[in-house]
Amino acid sequence: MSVKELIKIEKLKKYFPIKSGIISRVSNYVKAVDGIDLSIPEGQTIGLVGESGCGKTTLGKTILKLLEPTSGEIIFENNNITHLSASKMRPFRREMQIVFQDPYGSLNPRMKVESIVSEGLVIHNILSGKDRKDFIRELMRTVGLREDALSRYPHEFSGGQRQRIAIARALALKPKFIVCDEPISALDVSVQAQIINLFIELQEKFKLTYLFISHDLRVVRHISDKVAVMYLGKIVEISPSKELYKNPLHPYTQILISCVPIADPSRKRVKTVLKGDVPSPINPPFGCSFHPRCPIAVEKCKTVEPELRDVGSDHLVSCHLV
Amino acid sequence: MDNVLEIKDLRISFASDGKRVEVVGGISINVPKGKIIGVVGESGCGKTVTALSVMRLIPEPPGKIDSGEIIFDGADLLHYSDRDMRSIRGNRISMIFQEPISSLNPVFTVGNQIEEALSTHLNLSKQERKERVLELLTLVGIPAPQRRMHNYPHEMSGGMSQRVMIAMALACNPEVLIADEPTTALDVTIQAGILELINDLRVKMGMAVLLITHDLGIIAEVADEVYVMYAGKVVEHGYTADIFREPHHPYTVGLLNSVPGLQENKEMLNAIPGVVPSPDNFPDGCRFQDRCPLVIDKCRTDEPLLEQVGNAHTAACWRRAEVKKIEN
Repeated sequence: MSVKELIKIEKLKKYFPIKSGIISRVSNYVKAVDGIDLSIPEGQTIGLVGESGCGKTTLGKTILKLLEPTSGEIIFENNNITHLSASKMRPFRREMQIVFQDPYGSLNPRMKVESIVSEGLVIHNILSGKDRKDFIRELMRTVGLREDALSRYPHEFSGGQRQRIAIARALALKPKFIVCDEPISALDVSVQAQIINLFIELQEKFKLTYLFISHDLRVVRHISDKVAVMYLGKIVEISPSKELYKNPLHPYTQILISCVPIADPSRKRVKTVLKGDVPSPINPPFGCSFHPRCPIAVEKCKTVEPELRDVGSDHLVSCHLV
Repeated sequence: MDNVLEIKDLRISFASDGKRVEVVGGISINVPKGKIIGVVGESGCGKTVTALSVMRLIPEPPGKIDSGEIIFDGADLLHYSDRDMRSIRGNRISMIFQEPISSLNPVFTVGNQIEEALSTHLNLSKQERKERVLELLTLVGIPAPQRRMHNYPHEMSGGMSQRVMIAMALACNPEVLIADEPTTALDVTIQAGILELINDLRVKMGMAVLLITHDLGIIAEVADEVYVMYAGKVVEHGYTADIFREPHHPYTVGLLNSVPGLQENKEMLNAIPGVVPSPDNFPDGCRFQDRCPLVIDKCRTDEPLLEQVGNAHTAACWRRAEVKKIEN
């Protein structure tokens, strides 16, 4: 059975130049996204996990072309959107939306909820007058808010409610693809569960495709069909989520999973604590970028960079020792 | 049992729009020597305010401790003068905060900042202080402490800064360490290391830890006892194993169900509906009533108090006998 690919990215790179000296010469690059291949099938959720600074947010933003890619290709529904101009890009923008991490920073405090949610409709000139109003009201109910919220300002809402507003804004243009960039990490535990449920419900209702970025492996596991683990700008392991959590192959994934606190005191696990910090993405280590922190690294890891290869049952991993 | 710290019936209120709003409504917490006591709850439940009150760091005004006692070493900290309190704070009771990077002073080296704690409370020579700084940085697992002590906070990562904060808090061998969400801002891999460090240190130094968090996973891993707080009240208290095996308050059950595990598949989580009520609008009776699946009329009028439900296990719920029913 072949599933239609909604998004396909090939060898995507995003480097940020570092300027130094009085003439601002480019002295080096931060390699935030360093050659990533990924395809996202329609109606599915790809989870993206990794530590802070691994480039997961940059990847999300680059796919949406909120950041201009340095090289590589982005294909959306068989259209190569990598080099489109801003005006040619506009029709595609309707199809792809983003929900940000911080619902306190992502909503304009001077705009009423109605203006925030309908801004996209105004820009793309969709619906007008009463039709637009009705549509927005319906949308508020869909995300679990009351209609009277429309005439209020963002500061009058709690974090969870604000995130619902941000989701309503993303849904207003009936997109096919939504990048969810840590959408629940700023929320309380009981509210997190509500928002996760909302994402799952909306996906079923509108056949949405998600790229779900999070540092919380428990949440990613819960919501994703497939999970990709990122380390220093590269995907080091990707597999269907059930398989990944049952049978993690990359030492980094194994450590990440072992570090997740489990709400069950009777389960005493052996935790592997990682030594050191994530190396700088300016000068990533030679060979496998994980080797300085890897508990099982051998000579080869220090010189030869491992390729992401298929080890069966749709499970890809980049490690010499697997 | 031998308690190093006892919070008794503490009530704290804040002034807001000319009214006094009670944010902590009569809570009692005992911290036995050498144990890790977890306090878990959502934002606005009063857990941070409680921690700050122990350090006497509540800004007054607008805050005010209305009643209660905080017993440390046989005396009530609430009656201490500012000067006496300064000799306790950072010396016998110390605290680490959620945001390590903003808790450090950016214009001094980390070695300098740890030394400050030492020179305030202990009578050591310059050489002795320097040795102690090195010893502390080694203790908290900072590589190359000789070099690192001359670094400024911006040269360190989040995990390293939190280790420095812990080193500073431990500088004078405190009897109680208050850790307010010490790992919330950190990555899971770093979090595991910090929790292990806190656990090791209490074993090595015999200090008690009051660990404040919203993450039940962290509680399950390190805490000996748990206090579950909701809207300014303790709603359940017991040994960690008992609380997780047999929760007796619907809120605790809801919290446990809200956390996705690493086991199950894509399906709906049992979320708690609604939001935490705001302190100026707490309902009469049980404060959890509007979100509770077991609510009855009595809950709307009479406030439940903590009652014994097992060995050293208490819960404040009129329907505590029925709580088992919600779990499916």
